[in-house]
Amino acid sequence: MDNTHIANVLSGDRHAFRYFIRTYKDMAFSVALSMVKNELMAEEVVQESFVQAYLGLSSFQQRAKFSTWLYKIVLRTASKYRQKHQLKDQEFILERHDQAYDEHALNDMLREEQKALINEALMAIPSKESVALRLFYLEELSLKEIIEITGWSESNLKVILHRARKSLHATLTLLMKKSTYGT
Amino acid sequence: MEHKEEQLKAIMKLAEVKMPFDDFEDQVMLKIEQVEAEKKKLDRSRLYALAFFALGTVFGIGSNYLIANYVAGSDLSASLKNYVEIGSWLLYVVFIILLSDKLWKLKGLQKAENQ
Repeated sequence: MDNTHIANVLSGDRHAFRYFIRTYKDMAFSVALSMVKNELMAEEVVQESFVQAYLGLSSFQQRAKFSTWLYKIVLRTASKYRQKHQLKDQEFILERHDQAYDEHALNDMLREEQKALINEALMAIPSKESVALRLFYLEELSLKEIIEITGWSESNLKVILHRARKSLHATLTLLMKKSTYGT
Repeated sequence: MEHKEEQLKAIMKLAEVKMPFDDFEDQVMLKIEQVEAEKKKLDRSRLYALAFFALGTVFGIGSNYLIANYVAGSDLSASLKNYVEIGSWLLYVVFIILLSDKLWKLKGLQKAENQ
């Protein structure tokens, strides 16, 4: 499906590119949000990424999936954006958050509350960890694909994923306590 | 361990976010249109730059030839004729080098843009 639309765009049908925007905007937004931690900024990053993808479509070698190629562009654009606007991750000390994770507390919450809480937790943890979690668990990409997108080594990715799981659990616990006790 | 992985997967499924801006698609297409128009304009300018460079090169050779002919027919001293001729060719070479440098930079700019 992607290949047909790529061929259409390359043959001059600019509007065929709408298919890619419609299909990948949410996941691209999700990855960008992990990196810049702000909706408006993430929208800017995704917009720029799609323009870059459009302009570079002729150089896209269809050995990889379009999505893999696009997420690579999103990450690169987001990194540049972070540098340009001097965005830095908030200091995150795992030990300070490291508390026993109570899965029942999360189950008791309403779905919307859960959604908000998880997204808040993903915004709080370091951007690399948030990106790794989204790509691995949400997009269900393989380690190989994530390595291709991010440029990290396999061992580095495994460490990041391990830390990301711990960070997410710890942050969720903290946020759940806050929402329960208001502290 | 596997149970935890499944649980994490389920938790992460809740983290799905949607692009909150309704006009996003149109905004991107508008930006693409603008970038394309800008690129077309730039390509045209590059073409003009190359054409005028080629024209200038030919014109420079021609005018140097005319100057040399004119100077040869004049009643200036031989050494002065030599100086004028060398001076006009030197001026021509300096211009060509300066403009070639600009064209080289333009090519580099185009390369960077395509990457």
